[in-house]
Amino acid sequence: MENMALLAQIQAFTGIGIGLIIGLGALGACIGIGIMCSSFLDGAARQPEMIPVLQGKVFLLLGLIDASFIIGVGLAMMFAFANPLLSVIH
Amino acid sequence: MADRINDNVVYSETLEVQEVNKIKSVDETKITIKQAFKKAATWQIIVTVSFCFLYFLFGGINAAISSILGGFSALLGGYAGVLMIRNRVDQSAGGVLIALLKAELTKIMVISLQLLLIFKLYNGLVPMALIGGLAASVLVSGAGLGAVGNNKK
Repeated sequence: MENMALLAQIQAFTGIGIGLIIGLGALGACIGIGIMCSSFLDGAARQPEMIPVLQGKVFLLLGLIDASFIIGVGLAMMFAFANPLLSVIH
Repeated sequence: MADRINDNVVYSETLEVQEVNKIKSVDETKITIKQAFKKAATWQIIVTVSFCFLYFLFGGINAAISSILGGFSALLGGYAGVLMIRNRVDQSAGGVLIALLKAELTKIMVISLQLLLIFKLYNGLVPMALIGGLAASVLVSGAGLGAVGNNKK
C-alpha cells in the first residue's frame, strides 16, 4: 500500500515535470522565433534583394532555436514512457 | 506616337527584367537551402555515426541502435522541412516567413511522431542513448550556416 502511494506520488510529480519541460521549452522557443522573425522582416524590408540569402539562414537558425525544445520533447517522452525514477519502487 | 511606343517598349522590358530577376531569385533560394541542408545533413550523419560507435563500445548493440535512431529521426525531420519549402511560389518576405514556419512545424511533428513510435515499439531501447544521439544531431544541424552565402556548391 505504501508502495502504491509512493508510485502515485512519483507519477504525479513526473507529470508536472513533463508539463514544465514542454511548456517552458515551447515558451523559450516561441520568444526566440518571434525575435528572429521580426528581425528577418526588418532586414527584408530594408534590403529585399537579400531575402534568398536570409531565408537559408533563418531556416537553419529556426532549427537551432527549436533544438532545445526538441531535446525537451525527447526527455519528456523518456519520462513518460520509460521513467527511470520508478526504479526506486522496484 | 513614337514616344508612346518607346514608353511601352521600355515598360515591357522592365517587366521582363523583373520576371527574370524573380525566376533567378527562386533558383538562388533553392540552391542556398539545398546547400545548407546538404552540409547540415553531412555533419549530422558524421556525428550520429560517431555517437553510434561510442555507444556501441560503452553500452552495447541496443545503445548503438537507440543512438542511431535518435540521430536519424532529427535528420528525417529536417528533410521533411526542406520538402515543405521546396514547392512554394510566393517570394515576398511574409510568404517566405510563413513557408519557413510551416516547414518548422512539419519538422517538429515528424520528429515527435518518430520519437513516439520508437518509445512505443522498440523494446530494447536505451533512452539516454536515444536522447544523446538526438541532441547531438539536432545541435550540429547549425553547421549548414557555413554553406549559406558561400559560392562553393
